[in-house]
Amino acid sequence: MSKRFWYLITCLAVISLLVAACGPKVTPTVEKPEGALDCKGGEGGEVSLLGVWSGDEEARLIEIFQPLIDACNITFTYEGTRDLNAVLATRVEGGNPPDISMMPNVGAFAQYKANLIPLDQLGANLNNYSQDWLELGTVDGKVYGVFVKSDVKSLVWYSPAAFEAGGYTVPTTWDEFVALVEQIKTDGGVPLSMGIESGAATGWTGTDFVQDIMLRVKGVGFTNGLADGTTAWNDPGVAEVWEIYGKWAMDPAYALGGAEGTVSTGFLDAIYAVFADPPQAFMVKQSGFAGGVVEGQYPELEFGTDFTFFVIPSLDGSAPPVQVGGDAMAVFNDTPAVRAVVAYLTSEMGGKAWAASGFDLSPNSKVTGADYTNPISAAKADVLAAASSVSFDVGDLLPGGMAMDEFTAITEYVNGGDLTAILDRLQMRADEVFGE
Amino acid sequence: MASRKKKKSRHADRSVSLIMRQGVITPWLFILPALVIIFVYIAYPTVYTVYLSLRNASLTDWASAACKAGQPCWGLLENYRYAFTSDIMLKSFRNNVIWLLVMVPGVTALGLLVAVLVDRVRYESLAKSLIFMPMAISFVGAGVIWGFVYNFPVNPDNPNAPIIGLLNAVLVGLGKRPVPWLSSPPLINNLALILVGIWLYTGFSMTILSASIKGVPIELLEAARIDGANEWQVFWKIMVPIIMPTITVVLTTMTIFTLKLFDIIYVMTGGNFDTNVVAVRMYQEMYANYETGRSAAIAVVLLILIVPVLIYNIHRFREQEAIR
Amino acid sequence: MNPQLRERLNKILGRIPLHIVIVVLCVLWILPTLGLLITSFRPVQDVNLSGWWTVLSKRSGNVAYDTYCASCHGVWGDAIPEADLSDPEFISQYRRSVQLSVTFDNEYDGKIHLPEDQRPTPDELATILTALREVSQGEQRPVFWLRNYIDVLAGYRGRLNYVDDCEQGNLIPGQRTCDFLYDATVSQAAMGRAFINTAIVAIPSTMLPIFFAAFAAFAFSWLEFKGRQVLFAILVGLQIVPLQMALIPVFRLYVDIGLTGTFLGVWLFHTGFGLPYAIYLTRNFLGSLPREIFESVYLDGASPWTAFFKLAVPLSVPAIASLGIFQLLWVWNDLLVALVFLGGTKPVMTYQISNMVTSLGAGWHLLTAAAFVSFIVPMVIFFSFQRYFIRGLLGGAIKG
Repeated sequence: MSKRFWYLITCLAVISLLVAACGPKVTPTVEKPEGALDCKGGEGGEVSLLGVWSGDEEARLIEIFQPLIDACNITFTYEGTRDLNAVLATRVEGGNPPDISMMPNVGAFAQYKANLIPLDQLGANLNNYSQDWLELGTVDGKVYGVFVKSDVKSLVWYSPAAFEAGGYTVPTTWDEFVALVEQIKTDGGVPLSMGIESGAATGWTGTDFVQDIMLRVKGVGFTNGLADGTTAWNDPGVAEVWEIYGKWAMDPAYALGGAEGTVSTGFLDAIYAVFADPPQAFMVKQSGFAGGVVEGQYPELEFGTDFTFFVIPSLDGSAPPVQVGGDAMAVFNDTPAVRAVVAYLTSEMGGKAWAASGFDLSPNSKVTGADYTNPISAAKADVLAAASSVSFDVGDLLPGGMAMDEFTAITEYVNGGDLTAILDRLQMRADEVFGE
Repeated sequence: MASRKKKKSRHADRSVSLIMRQGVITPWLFILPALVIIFVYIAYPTVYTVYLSLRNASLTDWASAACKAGQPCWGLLENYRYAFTSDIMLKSFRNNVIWLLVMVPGVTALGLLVAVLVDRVRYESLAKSLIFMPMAISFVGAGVIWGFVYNFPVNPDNPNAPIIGLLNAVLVGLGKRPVPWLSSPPLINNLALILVGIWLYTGFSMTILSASIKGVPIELLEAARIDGANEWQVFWKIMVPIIMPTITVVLTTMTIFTLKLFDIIYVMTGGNFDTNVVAVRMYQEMYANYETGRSAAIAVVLLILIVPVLIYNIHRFREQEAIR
Repeated sequence: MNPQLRERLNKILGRIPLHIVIVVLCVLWILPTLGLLITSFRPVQDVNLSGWWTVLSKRSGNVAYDTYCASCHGVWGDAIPEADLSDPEFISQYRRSVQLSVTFDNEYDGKIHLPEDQRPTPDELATILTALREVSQGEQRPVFWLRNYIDVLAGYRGRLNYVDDCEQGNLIPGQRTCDFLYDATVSQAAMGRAFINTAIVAIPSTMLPIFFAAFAAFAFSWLEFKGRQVLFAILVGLQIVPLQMALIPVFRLYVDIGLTGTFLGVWLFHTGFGLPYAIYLTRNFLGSLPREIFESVYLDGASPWTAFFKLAVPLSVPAIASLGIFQLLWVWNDLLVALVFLGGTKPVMTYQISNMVTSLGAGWHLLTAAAFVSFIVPMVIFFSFQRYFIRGLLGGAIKG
């Protein structure tokens, strides 16, 4: 048995060596193309990247890096994992962090500030970003994270055909939106599809929705106060907003399946339901990525005519505040190749490459609506440009991973939990994370 | 009883002769490589974990620093106050108890049943492979599989709307309302999750118990049958006592697996809907809440929970050596 | 009837309940997996819309069409030239059935399209439109396809699927050639490459703990030394230590001695966490062997080493076989350890599989095919190890 075993091992080793040796040696032409790309002396270098993106997202990322790969012959080792926190914590604690990490959570900058390198030291083109975006990545006066991707959250996706058949029009004020929901309900339809199930992160679509309601009903200042601890979670204003959300989410006349359906339905299934034939509901509130989801599930539908979105309107019909989320680049190791990546991604060229890839939006201020080749992205960029103010996802801003507590809280609430007790518990957790 | 005593005294004599032949160093040569590896990979991290459990969230100070005036505090053991008294941990303990009570006997009994039954048929290997199959599927695969069983329809109020979950399709077919299996009241969803655990691990207990049953001398069983014992008696009076040590092994390992169980719950409910268990809570404290101290304390609590199982095993260890 | 025959018949009949119980258990056990198997051959769009058990059911669109439309539009849909339902172009302007329903109020030639009381329900209308689209366009998604498996084997990440993206020239990352054989074996994300990495991780990670555990278990069961029982109890207890707690200390150690990103580091990690259980199981087996067989070899003047190699190891083959299967399974299906210590540099199968799904969960349907691709090897090994679980392997070793 052992003889055979070693034979097997040897065979496997030989095969793997052969495979490694036969791998294509991709040596891109090292002639510099037109202008703007600065390799910062990192030609031929290697950069390790860690992020949550995988699948199609990984493909987009490589596409965006392609000009840099071509020009500077930089090799990217990209690692994607849903367990980003676990892997990053282990690597950083162990003293072997990735060169660059793509962080979906702003709280991580404070968490790792001792290990991160301020981006201005690395030659990042920070002047391509508005002050709002830079502030999100700033800890103790230093910019540790710069946002490379953003997405608009305050959208309601619907089918124009279904609206036309029902005689409904797109609301222009918050009251009209509420009235529309009531009208659809009265007509016997289900106005909303609100599923919040998302495995371990169940609840995040719910907190997004709540934040959008809060931005409109209680104002931007009140909402952002939750993220820095100046608004208390057990403030009656918070409960008021949660109850508006809960009234819809828990009632089968407003939301598909009522409370049971909301907590049990996957957020993707909630999108599918609105564009199914026949539609199960009329509207789904979801971030900009929903457009791609609809295209994937129903290739026969076209954006604009068969599915589209409106921004949840403001109280008085003026330009509404817009909730956004984003992913930021943070750097752990300073090498010439890393500098080249940082400079490229924050440059006008990098931002435009991002826009052209169709991977949501680029927060780079040099990117204009015309840079988006994908019509859905272009429409989302218009929303962002027209926004009266931009409010970042509170969950992603909260320190100490409090976003998870927020997700759990909304799930518990919709599933029949006592609102006062739930919000009190959130405030206790907020005391903990802001106290530290 | 008398014969047993006699055996014991004989045993004492013999072990002396064994020691004389083996020397004092030889046993250590046998166990040392294993001990060194275990020390580096488990024992040392465990000691480190105990230390971490006495530190605060960001590991900058002792845990007692997190105490606030006027609020209950256990000083250096502050993280343990959280581990033993917080609402969410108490719920997790309760769920772990449900898991232990249902999963451990369930898996052992089912595994034994299958092992005994398939021992009598010709298509044994096929049947065993089918029962074993879930073990070979990754937890992520298992999550997808059971998603298709428990899935709640998007529009439960419209029987014509698509239904992807098998169980709810059956319910709707019978004219009943679908049930949100994973977000139902605590007992139902916990049982639904435990069912996944049983489905996964029965192959494990079956394999081990089956190997043990194969070791039961057939002459013994035949002798009992000739003496007029029925199959039921043969099973309980002859088979079970002989394979008892293996049953204990399965019970012990299943207890440990169940206490450590993480993936099924994390993948399927993420601990929501009152389905959280201690191991998932430990992971969430560490990687979602960055509360390393609390997370370490929960890991230490797991160690404490296992002590009764250890004591039982030492007891059995002695018993086994005494009678062999 | 011949009494012998009757007895045999009785015996066969008496065994029927036994067979029923086994078959029912097996069916219950594979039913969920069967769902996964069927799903793994379905286009994802269908998976999201209907249960796997509906794959072979007939579509009801034609029935509804005959009821509501055939009387005017004709059986083939082409009776009214201005509204030729068999014309693909005409039908393609109706992408959702609500667009049909708004036409019901319209008047054609002074006649209302469909009076209120003769209208199909929304569900029926949707099936009618689906049927019309299928008939007029002739093209539809197949009920089953192999693309999920193609995507998994190529470790595909991208917009649509490997076949379509290659045909349409969309970018696929990872040095792809769109030569399937090459992309599934050699290219960076290929499953073939990951398979070899998994094998390189799994084989030593299975053998090493068994090897060390056999020695230790022998000492724990048949040698005398101080602290034996306490040490054994501690070992049993260490099985409870969660792997997550060891990641950071061990990783720090690895960075110091240069073991990060190496297979050796992963082998040793799996060995460390496999050992307590391996020792526990093997000791239980060795400890249950009768005393006499060891005494006899000692009387013949054998050393403990001889007793171990000549007696203990051959006798514990069944225990080692079952242990080997489980250790192999855990290592084979492990993601976390491989992710932390090898990551993307030496990707294993679980890593590649988990990375085919986006952070939003798109592409999860590939997990169905991936589950079967990755579980073939463990199943083959389980099946082939069955021969170690036969009765009488211990021969006369165990006496009552």
